[in-house]
Amino acid sequence: MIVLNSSDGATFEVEESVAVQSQTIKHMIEDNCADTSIPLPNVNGVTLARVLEYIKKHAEAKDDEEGLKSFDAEFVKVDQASLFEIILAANYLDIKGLLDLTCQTVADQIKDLTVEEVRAIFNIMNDFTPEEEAKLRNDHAWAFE
Amino acid sequence: MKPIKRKNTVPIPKDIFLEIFVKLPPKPLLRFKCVSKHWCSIIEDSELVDAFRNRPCNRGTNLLVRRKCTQEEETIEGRRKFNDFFLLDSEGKFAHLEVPIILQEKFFSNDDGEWQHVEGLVHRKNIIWNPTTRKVVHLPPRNPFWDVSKVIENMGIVAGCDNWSVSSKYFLGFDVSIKKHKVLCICRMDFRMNTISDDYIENSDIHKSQVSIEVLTLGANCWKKTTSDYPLPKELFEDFHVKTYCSINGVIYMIICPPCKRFQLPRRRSDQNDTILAYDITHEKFQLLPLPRGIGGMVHFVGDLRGRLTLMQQKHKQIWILEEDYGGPRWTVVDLLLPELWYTREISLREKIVKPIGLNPSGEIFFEVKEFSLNIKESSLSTIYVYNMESKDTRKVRFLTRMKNFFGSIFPNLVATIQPLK
Repeated sequence: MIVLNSSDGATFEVEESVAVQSQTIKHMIEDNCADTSIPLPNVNGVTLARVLEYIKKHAEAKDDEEGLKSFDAEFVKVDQASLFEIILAANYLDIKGLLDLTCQTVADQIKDLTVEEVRAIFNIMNDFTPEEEAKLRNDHAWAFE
Repeated sequence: MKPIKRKNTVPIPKDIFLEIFVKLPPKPLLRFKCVSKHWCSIIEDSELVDAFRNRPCNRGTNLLVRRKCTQEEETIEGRRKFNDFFLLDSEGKFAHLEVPIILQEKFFSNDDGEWQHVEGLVHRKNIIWNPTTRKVVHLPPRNPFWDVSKVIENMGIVAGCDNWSVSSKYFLGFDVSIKKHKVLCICRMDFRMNTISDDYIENSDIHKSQVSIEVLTLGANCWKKTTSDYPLPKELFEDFHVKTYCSINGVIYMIICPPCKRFQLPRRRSDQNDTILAYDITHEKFQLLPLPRGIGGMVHFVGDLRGRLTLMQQKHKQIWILEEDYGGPRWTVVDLLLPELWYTREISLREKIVKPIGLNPSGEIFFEVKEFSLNIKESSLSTIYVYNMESKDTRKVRFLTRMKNFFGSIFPNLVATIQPLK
């Protein structure tokens, strides 16, 4: 069993065979940095719990394609803030399947949005001058239809 | 829409944006260039362009179909339409593609063999088109011989040469080492002497030529003259006609043959000898490759089969594949089990023609079976079939059956790419 410490002090126990789905943890174990417990300063407790939920399910139900598909669909039904926390955690922990799943979810959520809506969601400032923006829109006019 | 309230304000790393953007369809991706300068730079970055092009879902069976419009009535915005493009995707959806107006010029309506598709970009003469971004770029005419007087001086031109011309041939390739599209330009300057023979027929003999090889890296906007460390094959210096070409794994293979001289009768079939001129883009090296024996000197179709150059001839039920290994280049031949029905002429038909028109690198060959009715006034009917090399099965391609007066080409495995052209 491997012990993981989140940034806010929560501890989680998980089987090594399950934990190695995270390439980051896998390398830490191989490099012998995992004697007592593995500190994960970039992931908070709530998010780490969710990530563990994912890797546990994917370890135990490995061959059940249908079951995993419906699990994944339910798994990503969270608010966008939490989704991004999971993305960042999956990126840091290097769990490809989880990263692909969550990023695909975000992609599907934004693909039909307008530029203004995207800016609102991501809280992005428009740093183009009106002329620059007009030129870009003109260049790819068909993409705005 | 509520902004995402994130607990810590760590900026989202570029890697994450790449992971999200690569999963978007092309339309929103291009639209989101307007979101901010940061997003614009990520979307235009070659890292994303490469990742986007190499998406697993991209290497499917998207078919790009080009149909030559032969009817006078077909117009677009009041102008006569010469080319129609359709996309048939792997899910069986059939969509009309918007074609840039320039490709509707009559100039682009001939010579089916000269349209090529390389890693998502379509090339014809001096136009490169990206069907995904709907952008087009004109390659400027090249004249590396701008100082004509110097050229004349160096070549010691004989008196009597009273005209000269410059022509360029362009070929699109993909340099696999730096993952960029490159354009090869073989430019020649011919000096001619016009003579009147006894029959009062004007002959225009090419007296001397100069050849220049240049390569453009798409997006870099500058042509680089290649200085070859290897001797250039002499065929490069003679006038040749390019029948067709294809670009595989960083090598441009051109099927060339000597041109028919003006006013001379076309050579007999058996005299025609095509040769393969190969250009390795990364090493900037030309090489001549011999045709396989048995192909009879003429090539009708070239393509990429699992990374290997493949040749086909209309009448033969075989394909020739080029294997390059330590012993040098050698050809293997594979027999095709094509339906007998294609080769038996029905009483109601004048004739049937079977033409290979497309090759999917994964191992599918596209054939056009064209039927001509006894009544000359009736249109010909074409059906496109796909032959699977592994299973040796043939099936019709949906939407492409019994088409009237079809003249065109198929590009299997069209790849979507957001590659900027300038």
